[in-house]
This record gives sequence, structure tokens and C-alpha cells, in this order.
Amino acid sequence: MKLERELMRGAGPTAVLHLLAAREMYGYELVEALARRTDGVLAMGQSTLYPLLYNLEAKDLIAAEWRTADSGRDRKYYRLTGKGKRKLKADTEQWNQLAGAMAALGVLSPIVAGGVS
Amino acid sequence: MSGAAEGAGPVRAIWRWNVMHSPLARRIRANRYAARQLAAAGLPASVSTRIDAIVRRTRLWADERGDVARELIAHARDATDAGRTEPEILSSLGDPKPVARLIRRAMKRKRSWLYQTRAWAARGLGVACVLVMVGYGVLALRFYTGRAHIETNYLAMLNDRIAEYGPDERGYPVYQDVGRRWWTIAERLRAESVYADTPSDGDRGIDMLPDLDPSHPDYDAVASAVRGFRPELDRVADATARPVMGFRYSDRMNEESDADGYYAMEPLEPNANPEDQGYLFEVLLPHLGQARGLTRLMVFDTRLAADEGDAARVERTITALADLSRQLGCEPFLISSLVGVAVHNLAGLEVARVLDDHPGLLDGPACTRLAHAFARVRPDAVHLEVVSEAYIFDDLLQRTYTDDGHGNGRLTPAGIELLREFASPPDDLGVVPMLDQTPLTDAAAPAALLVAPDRRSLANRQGRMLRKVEEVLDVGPERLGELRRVQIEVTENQNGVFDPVGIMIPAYDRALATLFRERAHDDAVRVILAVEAFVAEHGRLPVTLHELTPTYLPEIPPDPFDPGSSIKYRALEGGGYTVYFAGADGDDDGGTPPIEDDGDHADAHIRVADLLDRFGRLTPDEDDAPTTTYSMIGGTQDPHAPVPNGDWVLYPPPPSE
Repeated sequence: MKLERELMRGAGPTAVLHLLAAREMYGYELVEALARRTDGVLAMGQSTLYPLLYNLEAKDLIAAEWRTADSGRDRKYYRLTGKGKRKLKADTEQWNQLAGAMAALGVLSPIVAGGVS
Repeated sequence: MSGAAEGAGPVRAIWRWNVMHSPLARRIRANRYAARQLAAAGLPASVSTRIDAIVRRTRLWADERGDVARELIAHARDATDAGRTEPEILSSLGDPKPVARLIRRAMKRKRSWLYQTRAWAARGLGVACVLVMVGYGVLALRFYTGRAHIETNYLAMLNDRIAEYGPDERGYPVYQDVGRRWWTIAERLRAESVYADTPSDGDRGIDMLPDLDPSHPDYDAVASAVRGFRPELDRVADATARPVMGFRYSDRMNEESDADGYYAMEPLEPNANPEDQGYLFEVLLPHLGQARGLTRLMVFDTRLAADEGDAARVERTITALADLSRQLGCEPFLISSLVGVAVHNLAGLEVARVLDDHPGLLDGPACTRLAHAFARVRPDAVHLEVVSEAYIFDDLLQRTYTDDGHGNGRLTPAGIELLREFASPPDDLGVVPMLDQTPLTDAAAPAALLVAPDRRSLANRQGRMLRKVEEVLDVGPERLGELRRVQIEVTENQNGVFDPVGIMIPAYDRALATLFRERAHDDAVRVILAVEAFVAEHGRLPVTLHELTPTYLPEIPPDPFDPGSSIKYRALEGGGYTVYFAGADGDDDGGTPPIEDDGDHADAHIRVADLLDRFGRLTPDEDDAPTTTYSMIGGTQDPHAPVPNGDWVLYPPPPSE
């Protein structure tokens, strides 16, 4: 199942920031990770990913650097900035509050809500 | 290599740099760069085409497009390596148009703060321009749809004042007829080159009769013509006894009559609809010129009669002049009143001259009759009428402003046209380039609404001025300074060039000073006539003026320069007497006139400016105030000059010229 555009617009940046919090990644890696780790719920194509990345970069939440990988390919690697970390932390708290609220309303089950961290 | 060739190198380099960095060149380079990368990537054709389409549509800078292309290519190659099919990759790339738009928007956010600032500034400027254009459009709509509602027929209201008088009760028809007859004689004299070398004669030189000295070579010819014209002048004298001048105001003149000289100018029936009429301030007043011309003739005739020893004719003509001034004073225009005052002034001066030049010509009863004549006409003759001034101003407003029904309104295109006329040469009111009619100023005309005063504020300023005028008329010359300050305040150009008040309000301070001058002059003339009547009866001069009251003089008149005191009279040691006022300095100098620079004027000893000097003098600071009016009304005065030291001597009169 894919998210509707509005939900993706809210969740996508936080998901990307979250992935980059672990390590720096390049575009295709991010696409794969998002699809795999969310069972395709947050899967996004290049048409969505790159505008999202450029926006995060414009806001100084992430930084990018072209490097040549071991395979000899040029890839643009993205990493979280200090500002991005703070933003991720704030977003995570808000998502938790949102999930708790939705659980309180019965929209989410407590288990699902509690599983979000 | 020649110098020219050497100089061509840097020029060519600059030209080349400009070409290479032009927006078109940058776009071409960016597309080529992305195309080269795509060609080298070895991607399926459909994927390459899609990426190329996206990159092209972003319309980003060259380096930005290269960066985007490089990243999308890397992504596609990774997907290919991961076994993604061509359709999957195409699906992932999405529709080029929205994707390019999203990428463009995001990439532009990454640009430098300088670019962002400039972009926001450009956006702000654009919005501001749009707002200004919309605002100006609304303003223009408001301006060009503004229509004046011309409802009041002020011309008819003015003419209603004389509607009750029949033809035999009006003097003007006689004056016009006599004037035409004199014009024929004047033309003949002109053809004979009589009186052709008189200064300032113009084509009306023949009218400057009072200035014609008996020693003038043309005197006899003119005197003969005037003597022959006496039956017509008698008709004029009879007509002056009629209740009113009776000139009927009109917005239309008989153009053919104008060609026969201004005596012949005759008004046509005015347009009945006020919308078809012109501005009231443009109404022609040819009767005033005609009255002045006839006045000169009568003054000349008075002197002729005095020289001939014809006391009855002297008395009759001076009485006629006094009555003519009465008729003019009854006219509704301020300028009519001022002409009436001037005629009255001439009549008074002639009394003094005749008594001085021809002692004993006028006997006691004649002096008493003349004194009575002056007393009779005084309320109307020595009087300023300001009703028409209110009409003129209100008419101007109704033709140039809209009317919201509550006394307010805004300037209309007609108002701009009028201001253009005011501001145009040769009026010498100052050329105002903003009002020159050009396409630019035409386009800017609606902006006048932003700076032009509204109708109510103009009416309020005019009303304030008129109230002050009436107040000062009631009190006297000692309030001239107050009047003058209000006038400067009211007429001050408060709204740049879009303010007609300063132009439309006449120089009331000067008009009132002229009136007060004539009041005093009239008082003095009657004192002189009373003295002469006393002398005729008692064979001696009165010791003081108290001997004259009440038999010869109802009361002793005040001295306008010295409030609380009365007119001065003194018998002279060598015989004769003098009658005078304190003068501009306000003190009694024993009847000595000030030393004048401009002794050319017949009434040099009783200048209007002296009253303004005495009571209306402004401080240098006030004089330097940024007003256009003061210089126009105070031309005779220099606030830095000393106040003239001397008296206003009414008798004996200044030497005639």
C-alpha cells in the first residue's frame, strides 16, 4: 500500500532524515531502504525523492557530496547535519505525540502506536 | 599593428565574454553538458530521453542541470544494475513536467542568500508594481468617471439683482451709446495723430484725458472735441442719477461689436443652462472699461469747465462722477466696487483741485450741495461687494469638482484643465511643468486626486477668508494686519500645483486698504467742502473743525492712522489751510507729506500702501514665508524698508501733472 501524497509529504522527510541518521547514503540506496524497511509503504521514485532531498539540503538539514564509490561509479552521498539531527529529534517527538493521539482515538492500535520510536 | 587594432583586442574579449555568458549561451551549454553525460552513461534510450526531458524542463543554471542530470543518471544506472526493468525506471522517474517543476523549485531554494534576496526583492517589486497598477487603475477610473454637476446658475442670480429695474432706471444703455459716439470721435482724433505720443496710450490713448496738460500740443484739439461732445456728456450725467448701472452679465459677447472697440462691446443673452456657460470668473465686464473711459472724459470736462469759470458745470460733473461711483459700487463684483472707489477717488481729487486752482469758483451753497452729494453716495460708492466672489468660487467648484451631496467632492478632469490654464503663460503666475500637457502628464493626471484638496477644504478656506473680510470691513483698517495674515494662511499653496485657492482669492488686503483709503479721503473731501462753505459764509477760516459742526459738518471724522484721534486741520500762516491724516508712521508731522520716490501719482500723498504699512506690515519672517500671494499683493511694500515719515495731506492737493 502506498501513502497518499499528503501523508507522504509529512512522513517522507522524517523517514529520510531517520535513515540518514544511521549513516550517509546515496539516492538509490535511500529508495531501496525506504521500500524495504517500510514494506513499500514509504516507497518513492526518483520523482519524489530528489525534490525531497534538494529541499532538505536547501534547509541545511542534510549535506551532499559527490564521491566515487569502490565500483568506480560517481554517487552523491547525503548525510545528516547538526541542524538535521535537531530537526529529526523534534519531528520524532511530534510523530510520537501524533501516534499517541491517534491511538487514544482508536485510529491506531496501542501496539502499533507504542512501536513507533 | 595599428593602435586601433591593438584596442580591438580587449573590446572583442569583452564582447565575447558577454556573448558566452548570455542567458541563451548558458542554456545551450547546460543542455549540451547534460546531453554529453547521458550519451556517456549507456542507459536505455527511453530512460536517457526521459532524464533529458526532465533536466531540460527544469530550466536551471548550467551547473545545476549538470548536477541533476548526473544524479539521475547515477540513480538509473544503480537501478539497472539492481535489475530494474526499463518500465520500472521510467515509472520511477515519473512525468517530466511535474518532476522538473518540483526539482526546479527545490534547487532554487538551494541557491545563495544573495540570489534569494534578489528573487524576493524582484517578487516584491513585481507585487508592488501590480498593486500600484491596480491602485492607479482604480484611481484613474475614479478620476475619469468624476463628473461635475453644474446646477446653480450664478449668472442668472447676479442678473436677478437688476431684474426689477426698467430700461429708464439703468444707466448702462446710455453709457454704451455715448461711449460708442465718443469712440467715433476718438478714432477721428487718432487718425489726425492727435494725442498719439502719450505714454502708455496703446489704442486707448485718447482716453487718458486727465493727463493731458494744457501745454500739450494736442490740448486744444481734444478740448474742442470734448466741448462739442458736452450734450452727450450731459446725457451721461443724467443717467448717473438713475438707480443702477444695470449692466446685464453674460457669458457671450457680440464678437462683431468687439471689433468696433471696447465701447461697443455688448453682451448677448446669456446661455440659460449653466452647463453651457463658461466659468463665472471669465465673465466679461466691458462696462467697467466704458465707465472708466467716460470718467476720464468727465474729469477732463470738469477742468475745462473750471477753466471756463462754469461753476454749475463743475458741480454737475463732479456730482455725476460721485453718482457713477455709486452705481458701480452697487454692482456685485469686487472689481466693480474697486472701479467705483477709483471713480469716487477721482471725484474727490477734482473737488480739491478745483478749490485749490480756482478759489471762489464754487460758492458756499455749491460746496454744501457737493458735500451732500458725497454723503449721499458714500454707503454705496465707498463699499466693497464680495457676494460675487463667493459665487465665483462656488461656480469654480461646481465646474471642477464632483458633488457628493454633502458639500464634498473630488477634482475632475475639467479641474485639471482649468489648473493648466492657470499655470500657463502668459498669465505670469509661474510656469508649472507638471501641468504642461504632454502624454506623460496626461497619464499622470489621475494622480492629482492624491494631492488635490477636496471640495470641502477649498470651500472652508474660501469661507474663512470671506468671514475675515467682512469682519475687518466692519471694524476698520486697524485689523488689516490680521486680514493679511489670514490671507497668507488661506491662500498658501498647500497642495503643490493642484490648489486654485491662491489664484482664485483676490488680494483682499489691498482691496480693503483701498476702500479704507477712500473712506478717509471721502471724509477729508467733506471736511474741505465744509471749510469752504464756512469761509464763503464767514469770510474767514475756522480756527478748529469744531466750528464746523454740526452746521457744515455732522461730525469730525476720525484719523484712520491714529485710532481715537480725528482728522487734522490747520490754518496756514501765509493764508489757506491744510487737511491731513497722521500717515503711515501714525504721528502728526504738522501736515508735511513724506518724501516720495514715486511722486508721479496724482494721489501720491495718500497711498494705499501707507495703510498696509501702518497696520498690515509683516515681519521679515512672515514676508519670507513660502507664499505666492504676498509678492502679488504686497508689490508696493518692502518689509525691510522704513515706514514713510510724513502725513497724508489731502489739502492742498498734490500738484496736477
